Amino acid sequence: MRKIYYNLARTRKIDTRAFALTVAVIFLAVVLFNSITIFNLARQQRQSRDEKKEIRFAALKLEGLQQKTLRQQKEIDVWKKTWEQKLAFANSLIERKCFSFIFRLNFLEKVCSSGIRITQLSIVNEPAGRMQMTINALAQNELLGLYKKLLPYDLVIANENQTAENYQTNLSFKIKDEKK
Amino acid sequence: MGLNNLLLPERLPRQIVYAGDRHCEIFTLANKRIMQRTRIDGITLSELNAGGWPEIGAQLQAVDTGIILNSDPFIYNFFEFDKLPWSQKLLLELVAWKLQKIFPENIEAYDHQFFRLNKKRIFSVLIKKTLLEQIESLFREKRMPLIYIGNSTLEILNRLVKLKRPPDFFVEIDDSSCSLVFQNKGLPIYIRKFKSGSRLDMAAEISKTVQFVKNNYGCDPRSYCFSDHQEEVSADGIAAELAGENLSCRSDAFAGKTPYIPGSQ
Repeated sequence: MRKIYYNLARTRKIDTRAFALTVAVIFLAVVLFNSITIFNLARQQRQSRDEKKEIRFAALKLEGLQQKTLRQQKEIDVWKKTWEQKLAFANSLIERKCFSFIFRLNFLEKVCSSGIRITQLSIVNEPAGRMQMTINALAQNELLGLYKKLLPYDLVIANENQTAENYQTNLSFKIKDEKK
Repeated sequence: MGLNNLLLPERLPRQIVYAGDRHCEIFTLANKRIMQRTRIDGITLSELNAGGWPEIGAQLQAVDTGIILNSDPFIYNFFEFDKLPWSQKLLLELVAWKLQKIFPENIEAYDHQFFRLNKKRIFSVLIKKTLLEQIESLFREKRMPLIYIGNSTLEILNRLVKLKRPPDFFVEIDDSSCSLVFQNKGLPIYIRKFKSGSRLDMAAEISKTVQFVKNNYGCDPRSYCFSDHQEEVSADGIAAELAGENLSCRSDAFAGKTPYIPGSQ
């Protein structure tokens, strides 16, 4: 049970000493509380300042890294361009190296009948390079048979001369590389 | 009230007049010790005639004075509610309503104070305003600062709060007046005042009241203590009678002390 304060006197007096003591205790408590609060605030502010410094440092570092990344990206782009050019050149070299003369000669052997003689042949070392040749045919039907076989290969007949012995023709056609 | 008392503690009087049933006693205090006590027999301040005032006044010094009235002019009530409101205004209205229901006289003529004992119980104390006004006017005429008007029973109750193992009830005897205050778990539960012509009758009444409390309040009072305003030997006869009823007197509770005087050790 709490103490019962029962005083009916109308002219009560405050205990000044106890009141002063209470006020002093409250004042000291307030001062202590404020000191603790100020100390804590200062500590937190210091901590916050340190953290801000760290964040600023990290942000600078991040910015540096971003710039570095950007620079490296640009370098990569330049390298990529160079490498692509080199790669294209290398590919073209590879393609050239892979060019099959035998395939073309085999093809000619296959399409030309026995009455046809190739007197001149030029082959361009390109994948879809045009083959030019001069042929002599003993008979017209053999020549026409060859024309028929070369028609799907973009045949261009440059000239055709008929002599007493044979037919001489300059023609060109395109043949692609055999599929690997 | 508690916060007020903590922040604005009241000064305790240096001189206290105990207004008993048929006597007055003046206590002079210094450093929480009773330095002097003067008993004036045959007069009282707690009655409205105050015929003995000149004799008392002559003994008083012009210092802060207090007066402790015995329980005779006070009316005590315990009110129990399902739940007490937190709002002081609501509580005041509730207690006033409850008091009006049971109190037959005009409440306006009484000074009414009440105290929250726990979440459900209220302890109400009433005293006639005219008595307070008369006492204050006597001191005013004498130009003596009266800074404390208290009640001996409540002062004793406050002393019991400090005890680690309080008795189940205490008996306050002042001449033919007797006050019994029963406690359960440190809270006052029942107060009875009566007057008795002889010590034997008083012991019988105490015994009957103990039985009543036992039957109606669900507790078994066993130990008690005396606060006697008369000579030390006056309570011995009652204690001997009550010992036969299996009630043990704890004479150590207030041994050598005047528990009804505030600020005294």
